[in-house]
Amino acid sequence: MSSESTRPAHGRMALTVGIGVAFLAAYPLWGTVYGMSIVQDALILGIFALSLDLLWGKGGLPSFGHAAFFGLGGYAYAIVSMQLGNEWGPLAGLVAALAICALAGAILGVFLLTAGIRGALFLIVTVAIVQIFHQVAISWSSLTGGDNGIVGLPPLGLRSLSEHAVLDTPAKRYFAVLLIAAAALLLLDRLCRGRFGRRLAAVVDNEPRALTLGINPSLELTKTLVLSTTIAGFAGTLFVASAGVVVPEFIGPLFSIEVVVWVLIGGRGTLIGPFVGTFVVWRLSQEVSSYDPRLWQLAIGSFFVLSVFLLPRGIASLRGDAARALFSRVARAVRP
Amino acid sequence: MDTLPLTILTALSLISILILISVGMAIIFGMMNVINLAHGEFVMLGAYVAVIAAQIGGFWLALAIAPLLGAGFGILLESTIIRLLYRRPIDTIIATLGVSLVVQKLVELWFGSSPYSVMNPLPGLVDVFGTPYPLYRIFVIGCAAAVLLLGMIAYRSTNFGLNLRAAIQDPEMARAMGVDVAATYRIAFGLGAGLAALAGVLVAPLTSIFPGMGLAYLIRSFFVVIVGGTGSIGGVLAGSAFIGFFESFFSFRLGGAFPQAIVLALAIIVVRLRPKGLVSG
Amino acid sequence: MTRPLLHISDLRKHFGGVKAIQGVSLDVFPNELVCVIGANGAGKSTLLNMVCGVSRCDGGEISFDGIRLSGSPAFRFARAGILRKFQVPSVFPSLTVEENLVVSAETSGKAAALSNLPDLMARLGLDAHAGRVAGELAHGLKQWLELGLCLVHEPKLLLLDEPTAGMTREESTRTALLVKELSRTCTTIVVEHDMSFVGNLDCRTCVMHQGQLIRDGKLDEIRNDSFIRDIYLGHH
Repeated sequence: MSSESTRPAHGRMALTVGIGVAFLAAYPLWGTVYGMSIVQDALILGIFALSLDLLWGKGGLPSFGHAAFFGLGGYAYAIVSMQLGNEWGPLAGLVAALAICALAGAILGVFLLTAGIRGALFLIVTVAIVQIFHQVAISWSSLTGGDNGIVGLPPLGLRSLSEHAVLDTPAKRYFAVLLIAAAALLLLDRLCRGRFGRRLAAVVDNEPRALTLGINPSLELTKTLVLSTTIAGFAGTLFVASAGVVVPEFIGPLFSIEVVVWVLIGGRGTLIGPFVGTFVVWRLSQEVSSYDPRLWQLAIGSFFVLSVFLLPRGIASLRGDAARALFSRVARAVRP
Repeated sequence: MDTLPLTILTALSLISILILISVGMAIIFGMMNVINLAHGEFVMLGAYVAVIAAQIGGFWLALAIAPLLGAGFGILLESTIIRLLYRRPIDTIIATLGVSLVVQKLVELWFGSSPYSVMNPLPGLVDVFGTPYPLYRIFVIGCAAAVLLLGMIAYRSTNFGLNLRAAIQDPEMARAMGVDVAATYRIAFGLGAGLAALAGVLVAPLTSIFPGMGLAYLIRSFFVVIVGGTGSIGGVLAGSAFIGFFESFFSFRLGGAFPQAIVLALAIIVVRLRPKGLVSG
Repeated sequence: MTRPLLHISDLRKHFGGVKAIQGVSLDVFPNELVCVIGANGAGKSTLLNMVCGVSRCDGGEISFDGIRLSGSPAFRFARAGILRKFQVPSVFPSLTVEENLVVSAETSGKAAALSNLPDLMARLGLDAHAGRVAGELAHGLKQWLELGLCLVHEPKLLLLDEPTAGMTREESTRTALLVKELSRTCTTIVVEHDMSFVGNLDCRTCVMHQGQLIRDGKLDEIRNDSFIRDIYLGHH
């Protein structure tokens, strides 16, 4: 079955990812430890961006509160691993984080998606949810450490397995995260090109038609939501486990807006676009914030407003078509 | 249980504030289907106007000025940005989000991020059904009731009210009948903003004022409209009563952010069970 | 006497105060071809919406192949074998023609659906357009694609809602032949406006009027019925 498609095949994506991995794997040869930690953080945040692009770019459900799940994972890891305090802490924390985020996604899906809540209404609910989570993280100080959060978090790993099976050095963390990020990107891309992705695309494209062809749209969207919240929680766990600390900012509305920016600029719906976009925009925000932290918010705000005038079809409608078209033109030039 | 009358009275002042904020949201979001993520900033600006006015020495001045400033800002927003985006909901969301961020930061740059407070202009207690109740809160309730009444009369008997009803029901038809739909939308938007700014002034003595305070009111007003039901003033009243009462109720028993959290959770449940709201329009 | 494939009993539907369907009962038997005609607003599309599960019944019941379907979500109707072609062609506009059919095939639960696709595409004249994005197709081709989406499921009951809307005379005649051929293996209900198309089909005809089923019989009888002529054919 051949397909005259303008989309880059999974093979090309794998090649791109492979090149990226090779480059980044070689980076420590000339980079600094600080540089490595920047790249590592960017990779983890890239995974977070992937989770939002899955939900919004592929599933058509806008979320302006996605940090709720990033932070939920982070806090779950922190609380469980610190409570246990022993060598099983990190693993239990990871499992707890994934389970809780998956459950949260499932509950939301059953509650909202089966009621036909989509689009703008869904968006408002996500804004409310992150607000709730943020407020709870600040208020419930006995559990969450309040404004100061929780410090001294153990790194991921299992000491009883082997002395080396713990991510306690920058190098180990770097390579582990690199592999995880590459795997996440490739697996998601694969998934979205397969049966699940096609079915989801059909639901997003024309829900009544999908419904009358025997697809259960709410179920497909709920699966997408659960996958998205779980990946976001996973990213949150990775982040706090390597930073050693979790704070309310990780589960707040502002951070939720940041990831929206990464996805929009990277190219909503392309998966790799948001992943790369995260690195670029996040680095930019670090630079701008080092002059004055308030400048960045002004910058994003202005960018959003200006985009309305400069991009007549709007940034949200940029579903990476331009990037895809460019890619396929390049690919066609390479192939005779 | 003698905290119940007190709960209800306290709830009434919150409900009054919510009604003022949500009328604008009901028109803009409920009827015109525009999602304005900067709506909370009208409230915030109103509160800061109260801060300035209190420093100059006249809280009551703010009551007159803030709504005008709010309306002006609302009209500015509509005529520059919203107007271009009526059929593009996600773009409206992003653009108004941008405005919200910019406004918050500008306010922070000017006033700093530390919270301000405004002195109660009407200190003292009044006996209401045997319970001592702050005079100022009674004023808030009275103010909101007066404005609401005026608004309803205007909606029903003025030309503008008629035009607005026509424009909301069927813009094409209204245009064909000679109604300047664009101007009507603009004025309606401005009015909603002005009311929200008024609410901001009224709430200033009751809460701490900081640049990000608008978000909580934004979310509350969305849920008032969604829970109450779009398309009618009854919906705004029902929604405000729901959100306002439960938030006050839980505030008596729980501190911190839990009351808001529970109420929002309740609101989400109501949305699930009755997507058209408590009062169908 | 075989059991009816589709059994509709005393079906009711109202929108607010408007009674769109008032007590419609109908039995359709395997491999029948039934035409439903009626003026605008008579309730034909509403009836079709209920038979494919898109609209809930306010009263009465729908059974298919012995199983009660009324009250189930629409995707259960499709999985039971009832497939609907909409009045305005409804496909997946941002997927290619081929992807459209693949999605449908994967949902059908029919093992051979995917491997039968090339044949189906050729039969419907879609093979030349396999890589084209469905949203860009001309109206007529969209109709064929939508038909293809339904046929991929090997439906037990096919519901065609004004299949010739927007078609040329030539496409219309071709469609009539296709529908007759289809109905040999698949029970079909066609809702139509175009009386010459109905004439081409020449099958059992039901007349809807103000939410009720007022006639059900051979096309000739219907044509000669003076009441029908007054209230329906006279409108055109």
